Amino acid sequence: MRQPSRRQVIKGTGTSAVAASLAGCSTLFGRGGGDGDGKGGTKIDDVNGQTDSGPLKVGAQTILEGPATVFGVPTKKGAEMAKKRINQAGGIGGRQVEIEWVHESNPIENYRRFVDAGKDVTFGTTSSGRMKALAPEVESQGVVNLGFAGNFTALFYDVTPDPTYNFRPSNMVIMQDMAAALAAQNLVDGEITRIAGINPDYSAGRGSMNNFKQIMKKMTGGKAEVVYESYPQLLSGDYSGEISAAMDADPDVVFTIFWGPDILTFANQAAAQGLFENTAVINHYIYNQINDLSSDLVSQTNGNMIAGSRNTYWPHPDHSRYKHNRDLLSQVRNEFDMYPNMSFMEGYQTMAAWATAAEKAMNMFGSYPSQERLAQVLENHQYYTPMAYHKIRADHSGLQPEFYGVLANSDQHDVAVLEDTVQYGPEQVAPPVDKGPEAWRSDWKF
Amino acid sequence: MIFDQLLIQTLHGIQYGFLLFLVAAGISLSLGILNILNVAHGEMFAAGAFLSIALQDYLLGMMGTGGLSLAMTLGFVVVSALVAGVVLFVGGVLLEATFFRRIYDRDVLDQLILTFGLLLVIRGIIVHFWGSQGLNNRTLYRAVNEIPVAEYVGLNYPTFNLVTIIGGLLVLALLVWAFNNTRTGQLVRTIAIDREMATAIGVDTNRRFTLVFGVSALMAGIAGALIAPQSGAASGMGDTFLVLSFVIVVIGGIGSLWGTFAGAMIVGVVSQWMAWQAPALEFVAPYLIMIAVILVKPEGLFGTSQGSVLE
Repeated sequence: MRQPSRRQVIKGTGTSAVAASLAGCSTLFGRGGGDGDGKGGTKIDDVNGQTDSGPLKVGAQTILEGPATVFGVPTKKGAEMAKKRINQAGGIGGRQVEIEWVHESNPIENYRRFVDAGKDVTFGTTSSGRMKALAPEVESQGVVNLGFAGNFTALFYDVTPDPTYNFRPSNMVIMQDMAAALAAQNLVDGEITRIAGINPDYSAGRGSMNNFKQIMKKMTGGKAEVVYESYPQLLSGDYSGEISAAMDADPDVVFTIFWGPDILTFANQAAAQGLFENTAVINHYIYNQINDLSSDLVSQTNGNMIAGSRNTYWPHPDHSRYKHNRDLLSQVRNEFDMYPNMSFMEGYQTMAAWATAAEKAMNMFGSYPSQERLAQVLENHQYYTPMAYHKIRADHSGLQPEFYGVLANSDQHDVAVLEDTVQYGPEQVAPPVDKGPEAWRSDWKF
Repeated sequence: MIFDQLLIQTLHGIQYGFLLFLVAAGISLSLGILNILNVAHGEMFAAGAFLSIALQDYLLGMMGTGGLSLAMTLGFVVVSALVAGVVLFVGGVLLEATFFRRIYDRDVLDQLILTFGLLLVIRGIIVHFWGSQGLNNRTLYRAVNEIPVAEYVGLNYPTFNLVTIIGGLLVLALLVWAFNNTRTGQLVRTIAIDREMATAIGVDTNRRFTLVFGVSALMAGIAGALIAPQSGAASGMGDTFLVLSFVIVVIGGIGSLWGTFAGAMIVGVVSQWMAWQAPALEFVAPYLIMIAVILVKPEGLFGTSQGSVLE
């Protein structure tokens, strides 16, 4: 493939309307305007001097049916809001963005249909299992796909090593697991020597528990022991027995990656049985339920629920000092009557990753790029959203900090917040490109 | 210490067992009397959960921010369970009269296709009315648990779980009484033993079939309403209960009410004991029990080789 010239690169990396609008700072640069007239973008001529016309078409698949819509529905809203901002700023290279949404239950068929329909890019999936199934097909068909989540760690190590067209802007799961262990060490009073795990009975539940206990053992010099470990089914509706058994084993921390309705059931049943009185519970996903968490339940967690927020945490950067994050919150509240949780921002971020890369490429090459060139630009691509600086590294994994904190009610907001927030950078919690996660974890030093 | 934990885990198992019983009894009645394999039954359970939370949302919304008295809390639990049960009963009656009556004599494959279609339709209706993200209101669960009943005997056990056990016991008692002491109940038992003979002596089987199907749906609705305060309502929540219900029916014996009860208690209690002592076996334990029963007593613990007897 012909490499872009130095002049093209400089042109492409200049400040753009799309990047500014998605970072929330269009007015800073005086471009795009964000006034909703759709005339703010600069039309870009293609290589033949012809102006590209018509919208850029995105085929997107996420979870739009079933209990896991707790991830999919906010993801869709986040991507739609990013699209709205792009279009109000004049589109990408003057071209508006359109998204076709489908439920991701048949990821390969959905993707093939998108390719056949001539989509300019595809997004999805949210489920790790479906991402695993889809990734080889994406490499074979050659239309760039950005997963909304699909965070399982092995994606770019084992399933599609050295990918060309697959990208995943969100953090991989091992980063959450590492951050959870570090957060436990930082936020739980006293030495942690007794660990319990109650996790859903599928590969993510077992994999995360394994990562967590291995890292805890390292951090405690081998003193931490697993005193109870169980894997009940998803949506079983009753974890009372597991909670009682875990309490009977007297752990210092209970690690769980339950999500959606299950983590709310777990937390309520744990509170009813008094688990939070003396024991810390660490969970990746309860804070994704921010819009459903009752203040009563948060009170009952007694300062002992340590919760993660993955790539972003909505009050960060501080709203009083960073207008663009404040504006984003205001827009999300006004348009969706919700707070921007992890899944919302994954949708927003995925759209931002593609749109900023696409505009960069259009500035460099003069028209919407070929799939090969788009993929080339996305590799090592860096961009902003109002909540974070994001990077997609050479192996196509996204990198951003991991947030953890103690779940608490807030005097300032009508939703729960994370107190004593800690954040861990990718250099602390992400395995490198050239070293597999297992090898990296075993060599990892506290 | 071990005795306390054994007691707590057994209570957890009994609570879980009663929820399973309420769902499985409907499957058992459908199979034993109507000879219908109803895979849509789990969605009726889910519908009960959604209905009860929707009603609780409404009632609690009317209350505003005022505190809940003990009587009101328990009243809301009972009312939502009854309303969910009644709505599901009416729904069950309509489904029986519209669809099921036409396939009693049809092949089991036809039954599976019809009931699987109904499963998807009911799930679609639930999503249409309440959205795909489910409903989540645990206010009553937390309010009931603020009454520390088990602490009086030195146990750490959620009071709401005791309410579930009491609710299950009441339904069981009512069912046993109705089958043994009412004319309709005795006629249903007659039909269960010999449908052709019952028809020959003038029993209107269609009416009784409609009633039985309605009662099946009612019990699923009550089960959904009893679990909803602690687990919320989510699309697909009936799947696990449906599968375990078939296991329970096989263990207890098709059409046997006491067999279904025994099967549910065995599955519930053994699952919780496994969660405590051998977590790796928690999920497989019910299936191992089922396999053992099939090998040793294929008609089930309370089943008879002559067919169902509702005893």
